[in-house]
Amino acid sequence: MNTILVNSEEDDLRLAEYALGVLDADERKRVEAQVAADAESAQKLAVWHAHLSPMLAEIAEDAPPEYVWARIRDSLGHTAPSATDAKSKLTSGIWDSLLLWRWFSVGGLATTMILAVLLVVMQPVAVDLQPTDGMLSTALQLESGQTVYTATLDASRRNLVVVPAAEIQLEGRQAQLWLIAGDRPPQSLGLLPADKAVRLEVPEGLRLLADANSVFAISLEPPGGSPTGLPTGPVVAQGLLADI
Amino acid sequence: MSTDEIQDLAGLDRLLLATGRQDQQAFERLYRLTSGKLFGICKRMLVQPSDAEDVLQEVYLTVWSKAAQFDAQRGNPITWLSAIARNKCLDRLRLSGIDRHTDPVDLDHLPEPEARDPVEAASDQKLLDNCLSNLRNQHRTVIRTAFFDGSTYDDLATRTGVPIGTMKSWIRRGLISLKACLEK
Repeated sequence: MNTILVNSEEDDLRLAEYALGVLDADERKRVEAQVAADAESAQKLAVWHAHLSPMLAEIAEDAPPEYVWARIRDSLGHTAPSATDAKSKLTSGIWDSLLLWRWFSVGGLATTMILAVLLVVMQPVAVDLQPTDGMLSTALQLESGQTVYTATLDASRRNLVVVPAAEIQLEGRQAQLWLIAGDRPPQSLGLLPADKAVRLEVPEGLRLLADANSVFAISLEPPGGSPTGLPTGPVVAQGLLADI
Repeated sequence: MSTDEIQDLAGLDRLLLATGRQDQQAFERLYRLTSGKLFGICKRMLVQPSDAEDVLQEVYLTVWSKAAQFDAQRGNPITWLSAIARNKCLDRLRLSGIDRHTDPVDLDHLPEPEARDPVEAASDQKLLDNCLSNLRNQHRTVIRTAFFDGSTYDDLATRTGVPIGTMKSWIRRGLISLKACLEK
């Protein structure tokens, strides 16, 4: 019998022992390293899992206590559905539509003209966030639920004040703020400095769009902003505008 | 989880793929449909219920982070999830200070007929049952004990009173026979 075949059989048996669960901690680590490095071993191990797993049908289901799910959800920073069911449905649709718009934006020449129209003036401001009637605000959150910026829109809808709350991993890119209202493509509101508050002037054409059902989103874009006028980089944070 | 839902592998496929895209609602639905099965596995393998709860949490954190690696073309979602659950249980059992199954194993014990309805059993279960029943009684007993209890060769030798060399030989011969039977 040739040596390669013997080694291959020995390897396969070791994978079987791993799948069965008889190996000690050190042996398990060695097999895991091998499987991580070698796709053929990974495939063979999957075959052994599939061979043995029908035995699991003998194990009765056993509902875990509800707090286990709460612990999983909390440690991932996911929102509790009871309080925010409607919101999470709405925003998950928005994540999808942002993705859609990102695809549409690839190579979209006309959109660069939209950007030209939407160029906004950015200037550092002394922040004054006293709520007044008709103001709208949102906490822009990462998918983990962490708030990275708060944005407040004044009653006239002309001025938007955006205040950083936590650091975003920019990786050489710039955070760009977008307004999404209804089925329209995202509209750029400008670039966000990482370390200070800004007041952004909302372009006249967008003032009517910004209402309590609008969503703000932040994408990571090349320095200077999206070259297409639509989000081209990952959308990292978002928030729903609400009355304050 | 009803039988229909277990059979709805395409549905679990979709939920797992959506979880891979970090869809929180899909993830929660996946948890609702599969956590009973995976918790059953954890409670069977681990002696302490608190270990089972901790490991179940680890399992779903892993599912959330690794769901994108699930390949629907190559694997069944329940097999993939169960393998994660068993692996996490085995990792836990290998830590020092964790209670594990140590009760003596009766090698002359004949398997009892399973409670599940053989008509309901899926074809892969029938095939595996058939192949296991072809094994020598001792080989089958230690393979089943290893699978359900997550016992090491050392523990199996102690629990059966059989030398460790013999135990390794039984299990390896049993696995070779199983493979030949399942893949013929």
